[in-house]
Amino acid sequence: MGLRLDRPLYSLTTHDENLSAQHIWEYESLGGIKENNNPVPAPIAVLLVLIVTTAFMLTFPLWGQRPTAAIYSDYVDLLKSPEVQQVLDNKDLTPYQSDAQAMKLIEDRLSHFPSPYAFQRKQHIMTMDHLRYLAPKITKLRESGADMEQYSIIGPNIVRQNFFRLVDGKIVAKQPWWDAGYTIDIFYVIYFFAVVFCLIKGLPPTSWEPDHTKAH
Amino acid sequence: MGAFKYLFGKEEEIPQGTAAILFGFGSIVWFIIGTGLGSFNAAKLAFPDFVTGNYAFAFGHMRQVHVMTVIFGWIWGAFCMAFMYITPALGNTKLWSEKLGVWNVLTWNVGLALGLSTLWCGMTSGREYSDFIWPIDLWIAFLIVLPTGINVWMTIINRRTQGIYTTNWFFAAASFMTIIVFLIGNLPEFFHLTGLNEAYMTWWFAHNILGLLITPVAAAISYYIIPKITGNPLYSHRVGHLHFWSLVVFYSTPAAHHLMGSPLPEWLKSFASVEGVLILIPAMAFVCNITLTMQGRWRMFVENIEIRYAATSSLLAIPLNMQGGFQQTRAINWYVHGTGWIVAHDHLALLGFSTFAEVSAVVYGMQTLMKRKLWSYSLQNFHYWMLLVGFGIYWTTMTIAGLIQGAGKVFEVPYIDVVIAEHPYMIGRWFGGTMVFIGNIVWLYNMYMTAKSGAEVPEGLLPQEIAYDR
Amino acid sequence: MAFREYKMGGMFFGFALGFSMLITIFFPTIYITNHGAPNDYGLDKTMTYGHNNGFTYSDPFLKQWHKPIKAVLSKDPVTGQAFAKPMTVYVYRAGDPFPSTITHPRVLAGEGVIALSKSKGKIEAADDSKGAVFTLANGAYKGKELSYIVDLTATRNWTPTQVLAAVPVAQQSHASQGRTLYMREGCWWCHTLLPEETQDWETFGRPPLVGDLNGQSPTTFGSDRKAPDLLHVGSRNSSREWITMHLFNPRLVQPHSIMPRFDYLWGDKDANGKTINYTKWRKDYLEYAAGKTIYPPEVPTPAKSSEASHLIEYLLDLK
Repeated sequence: MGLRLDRPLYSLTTHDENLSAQHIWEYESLGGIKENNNPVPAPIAVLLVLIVTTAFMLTFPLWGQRPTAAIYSDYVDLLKSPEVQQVLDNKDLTPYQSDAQAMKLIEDRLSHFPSPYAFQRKQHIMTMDHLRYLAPKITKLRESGADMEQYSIIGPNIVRQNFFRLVDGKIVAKQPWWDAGYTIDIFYVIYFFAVVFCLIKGLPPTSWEPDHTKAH
Repeated sequence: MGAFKYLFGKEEEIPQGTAAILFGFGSIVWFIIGTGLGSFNAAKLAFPDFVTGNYAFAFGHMRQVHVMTVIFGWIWGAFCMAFMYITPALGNTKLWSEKLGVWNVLTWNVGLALGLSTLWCGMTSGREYSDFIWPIDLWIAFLIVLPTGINVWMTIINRRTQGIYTTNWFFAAASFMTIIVFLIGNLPEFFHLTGLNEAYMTWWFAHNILGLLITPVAAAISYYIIPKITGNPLYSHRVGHLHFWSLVVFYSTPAAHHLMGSPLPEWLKSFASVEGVLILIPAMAFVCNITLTMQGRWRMFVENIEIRYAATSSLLAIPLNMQGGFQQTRAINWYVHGTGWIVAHDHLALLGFSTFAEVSAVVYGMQTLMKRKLWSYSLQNFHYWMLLVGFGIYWTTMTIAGLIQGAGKVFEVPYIDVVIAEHPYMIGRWFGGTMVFIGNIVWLYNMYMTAKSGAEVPEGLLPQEIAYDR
Repeated sequence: MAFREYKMGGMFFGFALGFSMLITIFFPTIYITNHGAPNDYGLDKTMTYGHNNGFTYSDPFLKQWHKPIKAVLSKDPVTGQAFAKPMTVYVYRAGDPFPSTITHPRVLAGEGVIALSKSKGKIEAADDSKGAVFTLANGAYKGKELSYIVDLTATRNWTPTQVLAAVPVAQQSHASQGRTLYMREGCWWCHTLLPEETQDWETFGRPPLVGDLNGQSPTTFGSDRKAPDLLHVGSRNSSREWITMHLFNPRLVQPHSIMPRFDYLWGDKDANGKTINYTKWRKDYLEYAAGKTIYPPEVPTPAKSSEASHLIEYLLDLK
């Protein structure tokens, strides 16, 4: 006897018990139904891996982040710069052209400086009309000393986000890129697959294949 | 009516299968009532002045009655029928107690009638899916589900086989989990828990009554019907294990994904939305097992009505779980939450996936228990198509309506314009729902005629042979 | 180890289910209970709605028995002295059950709010068999400004009867009764109470925050929105006349509405004690709808004690 990890159930049982178990497995009729003992098909195993990967990838908190006031703070500074104002005041251009040019200029200037918001800026593109409307509100918010990352841009409004998250005992309204739920999930999935893997290894070997014709 | 005498009769005098047949007929009657109410409610949404200004027939009084009738009348009744004949059959034994089963039919019908009428009168706990007032919840847990559970567990314990077939794991576990879900999920009512806890527990109940009762039992029915009628062995015992354990582990956890827009703790929502996608594991294990069991017998999908119902159910599990897994993630949920999309999804689960499995169990069970062949194969065929096409129309129109609502929400269209845009789809919804209702009446008639004058199955013919004999 | 160990399977099953419930019930509810102190908004809601607006011992048929009254008090009910600023009070008459924020102060969640409500507000002295009058106040706790609940019966000896006598009936709001009707009539099957964070914010107002819901039961967010969100409807549309007409027959003010008529909530008599003739009203309305008359029939003003009036008061209270 002696434990074999690939067949724990088989190896923990005496030879006679195994023979009797195999006989039961192959000849027993459960209300006229037999169970086959095929392994999990390879495509399904691949599908399982795909499901688990997708589950984590798709629900990653970073993907769903709303634009915060913080990512546009620099836009407001640049909007006020003489350089941009000059483009906006250029009477030779139509308002559409000057808006587009000014925004291009702002984006160009911003691209020269590293920013933690570079990714989010690409996700949530700002237009000049929108920026003009938001600028005074963003300035006001900044002057109030609030944490800009806690405020979402929702259309023409800037509102405090509604996240119930606790950091050092204080509730913060910031969307995290990672959170405790994910950590629990990782352990939960590991626990599940570890137990199910052991369990499936403990099942009768695939060589025990009941043949339907034998039972009836 | 003769069944009343069995309530006080001796156990041996009650013919085997009495409880199952009573549950079966009861469930069809409740199904007709439930879908009738659904059709009536849908008519109100399509034609707002249809029976209105009336306390008894107000939409707000009847909407939940439709949901509860369908879940606890039709689905639970059909499940009980399946428990009462499949569980003993798989253990090569008879039901532990027919008498308890007959009493169970009584407590079920009385409790349900009581619950539905109090609900209809406006006595509600105000909690979706656990709308019943808590005395009714206790009735359901202790007088409806517990006796069924005892019968299932005792039948399994007294089986005459060494093994317990996959279907029976699900039956035993689901009836146990249903009691737990009822007792835990209604804690806010028993002990007056309030606020966010109440909101969360409401959806914990709603999620788990669907996930730990309806999904596993409907799947378990297919695990019986498909191998039994095709004559193929179940493809894999191992995949059955994967299905069972992943269901318990992953289906019981994502309750918070119903409240992604609420102020629940973020970590809980993140946890739930990952688990929500992982529901695809039991779903895919199930679909894999059933479709591979069907290998070589797909001809029967066309030729055999029970197989057609059961296989349709299993195939509908694919779109159902693809929708369910992904629509709850933050990335998609904000668009479809609270719209008709979700209503379509619910009906895909309960009217698509689950109902088709239950119909197959009831149709097959009735024939084997009464030892009679279907009175009219054509009428049953008619029912299948009414159910499938009616459901298809319902699902399509509600999905479109949901996408319109979602767009209206995102682009801030004045709400009334959304209502106007949805109007044709509300009519389509009513039409599809009514088809299901009419189909069910035909089904009841067919079942009644089967009981009365279906061709008797000759003595000695095995039930699964009926399938080939037709 | 024997073949097919069902005992072990059963233990595994118990463990798996128990572990799942530990993560999805135990941890979250403990977390939620300990965090999220209510602000003014949340405290006002819990005190306005009272113990429970669904099925409960004191109101099993949802007939709106034993519900608190919210009133605006402009003078001292004992001395009759006028206040500089009117005071919102929540009157629980003898026998009206208190919300769980009073009976179980820990539901208030925030350490400061609990401490202030207990020490300065004396909420533990409240006795529902005698009734009590509550209000909200601001106070400092460890240097932070917080709102808390005050039991005026314990702190100032005002009885519910005195307070109700000092407020004109018109200024007494039966929002709690109205909320019970909101449950009973199933308004929440179509109207949600949960503006979503993404786009709804603009149209329907601020989504609920942690601390907005403490003590409320049931919360009835609603899941199937077939009609506008109502969480802040009172701020959007505070016209009593519009809401009255809309409830009586939605198609009077919104021809495309699919909302059912709630005219049966008016009862037999209108505000002037006149019997409402529904048949005649319906006949006149159908003539109007067919274009035979120019004006629709007049919608009767609901009596103060009618269910319609309570429901309207609740809707107007949804700020």
